[in-house]
Amino acid sequence: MALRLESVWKSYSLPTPLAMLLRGKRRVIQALRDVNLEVDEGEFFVVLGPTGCGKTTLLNVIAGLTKQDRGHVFLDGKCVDSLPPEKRNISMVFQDFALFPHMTVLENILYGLKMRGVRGSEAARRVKEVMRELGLEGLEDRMPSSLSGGEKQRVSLARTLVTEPRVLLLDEPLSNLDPQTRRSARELLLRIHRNTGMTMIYVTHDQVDAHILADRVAVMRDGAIEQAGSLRELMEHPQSPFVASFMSLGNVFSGRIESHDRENGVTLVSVEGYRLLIPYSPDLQVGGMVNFLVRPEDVILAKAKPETSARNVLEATVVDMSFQGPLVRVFASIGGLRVEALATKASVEDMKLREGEKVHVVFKASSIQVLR
Amino acid sequence: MQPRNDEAKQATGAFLLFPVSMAALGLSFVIFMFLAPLGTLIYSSINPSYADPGAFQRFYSSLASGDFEALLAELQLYSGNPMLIAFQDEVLLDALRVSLITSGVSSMICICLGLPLAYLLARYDFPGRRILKTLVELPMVLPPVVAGISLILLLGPNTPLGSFLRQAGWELVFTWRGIILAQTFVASPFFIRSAIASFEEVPVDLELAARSLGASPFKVFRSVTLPLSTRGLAAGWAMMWARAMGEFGATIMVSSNVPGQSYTLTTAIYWKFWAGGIYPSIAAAILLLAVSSVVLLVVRLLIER
Repeated sequence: MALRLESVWKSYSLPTPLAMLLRGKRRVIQALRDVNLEVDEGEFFVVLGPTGCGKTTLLNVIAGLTKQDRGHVFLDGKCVDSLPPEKRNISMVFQDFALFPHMTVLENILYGLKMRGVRGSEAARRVKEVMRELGLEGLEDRMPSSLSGGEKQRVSLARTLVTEPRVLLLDEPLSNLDPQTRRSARELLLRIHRNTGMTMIYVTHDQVDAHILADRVAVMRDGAIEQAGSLRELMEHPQSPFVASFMSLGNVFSGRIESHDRENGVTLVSVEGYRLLIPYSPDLQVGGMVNFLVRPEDVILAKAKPETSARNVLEATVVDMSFQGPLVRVFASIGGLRVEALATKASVEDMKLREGEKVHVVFKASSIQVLR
Repeated sequence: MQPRNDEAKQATGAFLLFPVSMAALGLSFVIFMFLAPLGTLIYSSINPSYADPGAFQRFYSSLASGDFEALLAELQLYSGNPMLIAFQDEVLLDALRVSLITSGVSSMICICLGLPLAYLLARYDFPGRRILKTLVELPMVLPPVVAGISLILLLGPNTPLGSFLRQAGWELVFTWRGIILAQTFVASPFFIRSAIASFEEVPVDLELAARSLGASPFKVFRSVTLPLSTRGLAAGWAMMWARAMGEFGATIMVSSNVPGQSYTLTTAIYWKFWAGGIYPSIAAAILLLAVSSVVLLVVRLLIER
């Protein structure tokens, strides 16, 4: 195991000007709450979460740029809490690239080597190798301000890679690039990861990055890790409504548990006045609330009320349709409920479905996933 | 008149009114506040009789009365260029030397002690930061005479600290050392303010990136922060130095006004004015103006290079 975080907490206190003047009072922001994380050797680990969820703080704590309030960081089994960033051998690629504007491309790339005492022919060899790998030849004497976004990104990558860090941290490195460049940058990152086998932790709010790059993913929210695992695990077994909705897995409903029907293995739940059946589970308490996921691909649409064993049948109105190749994403509303369904283009055409028309929305209780 | 044209005219009028009035106000400010007084000073250094309307009359009365000695003195007074006279006046040259040395030393003190303070205030958040920041700027709004009094009270020969220092052979007040203290006290905010602003302009990400690339905090400061804030620091230093060079209120309080020792150019202007009127002080003033302008100009050229 390359890196392990053990119950890391971090809060910031922001001074509010007026309150400071009056009582020295401060607004406290909890950036990390009890974060436990394990990253394996050579893994491409993606931390996924919305802006402001504490992702950057997490990277800063790992790099040693911010000191955590509580908890420990272990690198190769050794606690590095007391090590300053320059002694951790963890390099970071910043969102806005953070190239030194007063140095040339070559000086930028040499910086880390110089600071780590690598000089002469060894430094020259490493720089040449990295610049070739990242296609930066010929840019040696350019100043960062004259580079394109993609070039800046590659220089900032080269600057960290050349120091051969134990762990490479990437803080939304693609978010400042145009879509075209972003695509090629992802491929470049994948290739570098394959070639070097370096342990990488990549922080992003973009799901696509996770889908393409990640060996494993952790979803963060409000400073806490909601769920960690392989992308497939997260997609198939999301453990919280937040993970399900952030990963765009489908319809997340929240309802009150009315009664159990143990014989048929279902539980009756009332969602905004509508009664739905979900799979029975002994830990569902009558009277309590439950969240559950209905995937669009499990929702069937029908014009006439269908003869089906599925007992969740609702009459809805189509509000929006989005055509995506052979598939159509249909949004229907039932009172205050909004249901997203995935249908084939052919079936939508068969039904002559149009916006504003009535449609029956059908889903089996057994296809519903109960979330925590 | 067609309404459309009228509208267009109104729009143009409104469009021009603002920049023109701004330019007029700005220009008149520059002319009346800076160019007119400084221009008159320079003009009277070329044509000294401007400052002394009675000269013509005195010249003729001494000619009429046959007082050749007075006539000669009068002729001598107005034949020379005050700039040249200044460069021949031993007292003024001594004063220039003292001014240059003391302002140089106080600006060095300011860099050595003010730079770390400015970095601290720009980069770290700690209790009392705002209070410290205000305190540092206090001398800008404090009358320099008050600074002089405070220094005398703290370090004067009859105060506890002052008498202790005097026994140790370190007399501060009423020597050139006192001038350095006064200049540092009064002028340091000009450097510190500018240094804080230029440090704050260096993105924190650059420093963090340097740290994560293996640089110690000191190396980060030397290789990233300092090179990126050089311009602001140099500009602040120049302002501070010019302020120290022109410092008068606190200096006159703490200097002994012995020529060659603690007699700065500004105090020289003052004493010359009291001793001989406006004319002898023109030379000292023009000397101060020339030296300060040249240094500011050189710094500006270096910054913008």
